[in-house]
Amino acid sequence: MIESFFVWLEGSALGAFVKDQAATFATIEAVHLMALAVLGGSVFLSDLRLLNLVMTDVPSRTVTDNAHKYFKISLIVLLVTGFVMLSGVATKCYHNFYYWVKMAALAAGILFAFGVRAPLLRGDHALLRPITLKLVAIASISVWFLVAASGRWIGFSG
Amino acid sequence: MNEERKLATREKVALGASIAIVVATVVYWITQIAGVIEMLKLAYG
Amino acid sequence: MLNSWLVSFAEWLGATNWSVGLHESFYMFNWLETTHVLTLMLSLGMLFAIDARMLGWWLMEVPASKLADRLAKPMWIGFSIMIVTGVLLYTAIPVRYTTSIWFRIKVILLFVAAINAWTFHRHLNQSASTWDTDRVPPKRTRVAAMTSLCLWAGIVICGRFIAYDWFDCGKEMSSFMNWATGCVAVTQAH
Repeated sequence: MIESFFVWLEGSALGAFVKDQAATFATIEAVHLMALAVLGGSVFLSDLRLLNLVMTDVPSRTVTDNAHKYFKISLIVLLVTGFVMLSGVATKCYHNFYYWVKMAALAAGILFAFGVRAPLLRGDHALLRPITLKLVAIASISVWFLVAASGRWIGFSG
Repeated sequence: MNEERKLATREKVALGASIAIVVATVVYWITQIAGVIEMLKLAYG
Repeated sequence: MLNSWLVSFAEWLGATNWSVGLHESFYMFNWLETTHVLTLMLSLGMLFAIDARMLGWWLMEVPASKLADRLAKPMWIGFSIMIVTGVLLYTAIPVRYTTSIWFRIKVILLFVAAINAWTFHRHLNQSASTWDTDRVPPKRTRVAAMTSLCLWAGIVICGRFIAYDWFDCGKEMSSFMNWATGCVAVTQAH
């Protein structure tokens, strides 16, 4: 059933549009990379602050609140460009192990970011144990790094 | 008081989720590196 | 001519054991390339954070010069990795990169971005105290920051396009393109 969705997607008008010219896919991917830079910036800014490695003289709440704004914007751009790219290579991705690793990591990342990390950081950081903040930061960096790394590896496998 | 209880719960959930993610990540990378080492042994002997 | 010098150098480099070993390796080239791409999350991420502040988009609670100063270290760690991996990647397939129009444009844009950053940094040091905490930074600051973002967007796009063969040597090209890509100086068959 999942496979039929991928087959349908690749055969759709969107898939045809993406496949028509190599430059289309390449340009959308370049936008995907630029959004990745912004996501990386917001993740590193926020998590390095929680790890007390950067901007330690700025309140952590200020940093995390600001970072979250561009985290959301870049994530939306990544999801949209990602979906458009997928339509051009859907069946290849369906059969690729690293594509599914990326999707699992992405799901975990989104659930963690919005369901666990953001609600936690809306509270008073001073009331939280330092170890909690550090573990949350490490988990956040780990999961987004895995999304990016497995994403790149799709191109090198299958 | 209720806000503090909510925060305490969120903190427990955060600790659990973070540890789970970090453990899963470590396991993933260990298996990947093991696979690479095996592949390199096959390729280069 | 510059093209023949560049291509001769690339052909010499491409014949070395180092280069052949790297580009025929099982994983090394892929790891280098992956590191190069992924590290942009750090280098360009921090750069975006600083430029966005200079444009008045976020973190207005923090003085601009302070933000630039604090994020400089992680940004430069990222850029160092980019430079090292970039050079190593070049040594793997030097002729391909040297005769790639996209690589050439990327290098030119990198130089322009460096000049833009350097002149802006001087300006920042001289004038920051007058606008550090302003709601809207001065025009010169915003122009420099937007220029930076546009240049780096161009660098990312060119970097991505290198992999495509649209203007590879051997393809039907105008004599202008043959010169611009450096293909006019290639002596070996690919």
